[in-house]
Amino acid sequence: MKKIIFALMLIACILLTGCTNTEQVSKEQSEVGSKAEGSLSVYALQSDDKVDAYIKDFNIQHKNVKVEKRGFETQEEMDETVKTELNAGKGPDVIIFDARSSLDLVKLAKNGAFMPLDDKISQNDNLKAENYLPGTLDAGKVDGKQYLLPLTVTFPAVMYNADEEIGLEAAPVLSYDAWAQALESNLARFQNDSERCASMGGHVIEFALLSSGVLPLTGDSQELNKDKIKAVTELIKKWDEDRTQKREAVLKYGESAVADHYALYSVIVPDLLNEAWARLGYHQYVKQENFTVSVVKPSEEEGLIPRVASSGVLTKNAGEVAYDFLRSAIDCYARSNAEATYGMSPNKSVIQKMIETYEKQVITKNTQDGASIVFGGLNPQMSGSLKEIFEAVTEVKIYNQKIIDIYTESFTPYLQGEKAYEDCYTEFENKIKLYFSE
Amino acid sequence: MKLKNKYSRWGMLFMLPGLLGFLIFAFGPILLMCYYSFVDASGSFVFLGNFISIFQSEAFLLALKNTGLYLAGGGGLVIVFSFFLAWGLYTLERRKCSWTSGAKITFILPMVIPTAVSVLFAEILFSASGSVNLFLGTEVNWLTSSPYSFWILVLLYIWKNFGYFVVIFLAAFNRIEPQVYEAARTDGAGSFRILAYIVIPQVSAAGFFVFIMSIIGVFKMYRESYLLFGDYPSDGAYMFQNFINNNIANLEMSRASAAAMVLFAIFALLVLYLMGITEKSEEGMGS
Repeated sequence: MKKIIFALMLIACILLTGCTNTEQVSKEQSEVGSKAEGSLSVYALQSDDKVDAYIKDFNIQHKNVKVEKRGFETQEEMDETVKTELNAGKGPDVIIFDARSSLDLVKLAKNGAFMPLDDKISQNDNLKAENYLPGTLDAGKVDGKQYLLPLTVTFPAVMYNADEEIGLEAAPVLSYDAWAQALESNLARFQNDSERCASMGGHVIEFALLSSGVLPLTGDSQELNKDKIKAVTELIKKWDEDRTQKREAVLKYGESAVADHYALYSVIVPDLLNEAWARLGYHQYVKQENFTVSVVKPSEEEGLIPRVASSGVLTKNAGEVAYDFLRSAIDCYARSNAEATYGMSPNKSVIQKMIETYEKQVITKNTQDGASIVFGGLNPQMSGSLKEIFEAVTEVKIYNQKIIDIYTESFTPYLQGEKAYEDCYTEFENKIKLYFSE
Repeated sequence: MKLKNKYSRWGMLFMLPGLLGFLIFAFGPILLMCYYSFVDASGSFVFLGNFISIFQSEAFLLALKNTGLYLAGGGGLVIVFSFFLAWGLYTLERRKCSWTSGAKITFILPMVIPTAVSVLFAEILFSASGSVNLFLGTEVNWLTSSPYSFWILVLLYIWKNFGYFVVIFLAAFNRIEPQVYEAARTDGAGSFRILAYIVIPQVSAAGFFVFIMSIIGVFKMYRESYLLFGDYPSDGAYMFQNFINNNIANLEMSRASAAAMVLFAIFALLVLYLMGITEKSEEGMGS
């Protein structure tokens, strides 16, 4: 008997060493820690300065509520902290998640980390689906319940110089294939003209994956389109190689010269309206260049699908006032005219209001090197095009960053020429299967 | 349990802090794990639902297979390797060879090397631009390729643990009286017979301990695995801890606990079976 007890204790030690986790949820712990009314804790990225606007806006109506914001320097740090605290049944009242968080928000919601918001939303006249871009509120639903409130969205879009000299066709809305074709011809065209070469800035992989619609980025489908993934990966590789080669040549002219003369500006447009106003307006009126913007949709059949850039959740410890904060945040732009820095409001009336504002405004801004730049307003044709773009939105979605991370991790050796494509694909396929079957 | 005298009571008193620690920090979480394995995320009782769910998961089955292979491959190899190395050292010690104590210290060294350093060492050796590729003239990234990543983990495991097991086996060999060997030789037993019929049965208790420690060692290797391959390694290196930790990260406590319970059951059976063998072996020795 003694030996059996000894053996069981040894097994217990083995399990403790390998399998148990000090972050086990304690139900008792999870039930304590609710914040008293009058204080509110918010976790967000330090760089997300919209959160400061939310707080400022919220405090106009809730003067006696002290909002304590914890801003994280990096996404990784925030993910680790949130994961650990949620596991321990702790955590803040409100978390503002960035789209690039690698946490699986759907799984967390399913496992009870967040508070369902349906009852509160149904009592709120402002939070009606028809007031937002199509599918905005649906994007935050898990198993039919509203857990996340999408606060801002980004657009997979291309801003480019449609000057005839440049040679790109100014299609109002590009399909993925048209975008790929335009890219190919652009790359070929600028072979010997480094100053006006194509450059897509950052987020190349993210953009290609989002726009091509070849991955189960939302977790709805686990089917992988092998041929299309190959096509996208080859394009990214070519693009990346070309960009790297030409970037070195372009940098001879200095960073600002590069920015002014790029034929293609941006791939993930954080705030289409703000960018359109600042960049397109600038080129239209100051440089007399025919810049335009096109958004990319996965195929001709599918509409435009912007990505949720940030979303807010309430943890299960959240107090009553926390919901007011989220509600206030989603309409922050409408009340405070806060300028977006990453992501734009999905609220239709805010979009309309901003288009009207940018049609009228012409302002002067001082650049870092002391120069003065006049930003022009949008002309009616341009604002009309922008309205068309927003009307083309069929759905807003929260994409799973983990899938993008797995893609990047799996294919980086191929992009860097260290491994064959087939090997990378097999690895990628296996990891995706593991991820979904866990 | 009746305490016979005041010394027994003092003994219990001295045991109490450790016992309390065990109950609170080990036994308590195990009970909690047991509870979670039978309920869903909302706390409703689902009986075997979580177990059925994990056995339908490809990831779980892969983790089970890989961990079994790792235990058999890594655990088995390290026991065999350290046993014969210890036997060789013991033979040399008996012949008064002077450098054996230095060798023992050298063998122990990998155990005290921090995980981060051993991982760095593995990367220097096995990455695409690593020493192994330079030496072989190949361009394989051994760390991300499925069959190799598994064997790199096995290699790391053996390298880190064999020294400790050698010392344990050496201590066990030293407990065997020299007269036993002399008697065996007088009776005409060769080296193989001495090893098979005298040494192995005599050190079975130490072997059992080494077996348990090797299991613990296998699970401790998750740190190396995570640092080398991340939370989604290649197929060959996806272990039980990946499954459990990834589930815990998504607050899938029920699935993680069910997986841990399956592991508990497997090892309980395995350890009890081996204890039975060891006891039989000891009884055989006694008679």
